[in-house]
Amino acid sequence: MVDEVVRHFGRIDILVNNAAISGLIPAVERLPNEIWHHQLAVDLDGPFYMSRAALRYMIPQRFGRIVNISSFAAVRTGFVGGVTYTTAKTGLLGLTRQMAYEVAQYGITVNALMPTGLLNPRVLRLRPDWVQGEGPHRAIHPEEELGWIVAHLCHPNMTAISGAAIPVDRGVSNGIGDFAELKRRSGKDTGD
Amino acid sequence: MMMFGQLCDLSGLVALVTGAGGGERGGLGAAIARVLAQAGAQVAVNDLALEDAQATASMIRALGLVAEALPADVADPEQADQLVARVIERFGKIDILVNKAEYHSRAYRPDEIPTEEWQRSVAVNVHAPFYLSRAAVRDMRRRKFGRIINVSNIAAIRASVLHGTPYVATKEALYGFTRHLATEVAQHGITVNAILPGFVLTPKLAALWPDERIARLAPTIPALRAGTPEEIASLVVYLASPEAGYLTGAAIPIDGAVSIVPGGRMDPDNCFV
Repeated sequence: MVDEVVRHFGRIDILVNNAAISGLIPAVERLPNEIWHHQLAVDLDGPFYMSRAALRYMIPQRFGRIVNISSFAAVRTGFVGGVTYTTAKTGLLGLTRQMAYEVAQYGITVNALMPTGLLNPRVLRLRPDWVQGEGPHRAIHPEEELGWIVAHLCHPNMTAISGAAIPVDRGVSNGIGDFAELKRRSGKDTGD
Repeated sequence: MMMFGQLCDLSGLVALVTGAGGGERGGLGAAIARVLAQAGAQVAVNDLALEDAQATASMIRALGLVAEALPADVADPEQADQLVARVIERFGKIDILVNKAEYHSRAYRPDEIPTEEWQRSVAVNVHAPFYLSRAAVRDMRRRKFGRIINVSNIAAIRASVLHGTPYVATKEALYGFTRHLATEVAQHGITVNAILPGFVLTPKLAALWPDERIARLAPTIPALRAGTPEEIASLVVYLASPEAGYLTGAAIPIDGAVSIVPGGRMDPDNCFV
């Protein structure tokens, strides 16, 4: 896919690893191999394969920007997703940090965003009750807010921030969570 | 009232330690298996090769303690399931699971990492703890007691000079797995924690690395020395003990404070293979 991009545009400067699978899955003790392997392949192997391919062009041109869309699940747990989501999104921070460390010398930055409470159209359709409405805790808009942060991180002048894992949560996710409430609202199989 | 002498007594508990082969010449896993046995646990010793697993089991039995060698490739889901089944067959249950088996990827530059190197890292460092924990939890929840200890590395919170992207990504993924599993099984009296060792001088490493290389590393650590396998194993014993029932979902660095020293820039002449 990266070769295709370069054939079409002549180069690749920015890679945003956003593709991911989430969704309710069984508790660990009931989780089949197929779900585990498929989700980890998309959510963790995918960003690695894409980054490796893009770096083959970015390193020789001495410029590149990689932004990995992780999740706040990478520092807590994913209640919408399950164990695969938390595991993959946490691994993505390691991928981000080590690549950032190794490619800094080539003018390439690698960062991760950890959004939570994103206004996801699919979630909005499936669970309108999750959306918090307007006001200071309103959902985060994927284009106008998340996209804006990605655009800033990808600016050629943005050379100093690399290897970062940036929470995108309106500053509220550090509060202590309510296990019973999250269980009730998400319908997650928590191994009862 | 509990006496200090009774703390961390693992008598009557059954432990499985993966990647614990090598006996006297083994790595951290062998030391963890031995110290768990010395704390009173009956220990199933896993490694890839039978003779490696037997070396550690014999070392433990020579101390008059209980151990059984159970070889398996834990990255294979069927072998992992069978391994836990064999522990239960031999000892009647599984109380403690120590996921120590790991794959050390070499420090390739990120654009040159072979696909197999990535896939083997994910299989051993992430898939295997999942397969084994899934199987172990099914037994542990019946008795409302279980201890899962995942041996990650300070690479999970910093960058690695020795092992590259696959190692760092998978060791941090293991911490994510630890956190998530902890929330799901806490209600059943099962704790899940990750330990993040720094530089530990095991007999296996001492045989691989020249003395001067080891000597050069010591001053880079605030404690001015490598950790001993016994120091790491003592933390595992504590986490495995009934007393540690409220400590779960944690990632505990045990590294002589090296992970909190500010780091420096990458030295390209000194790291990539």
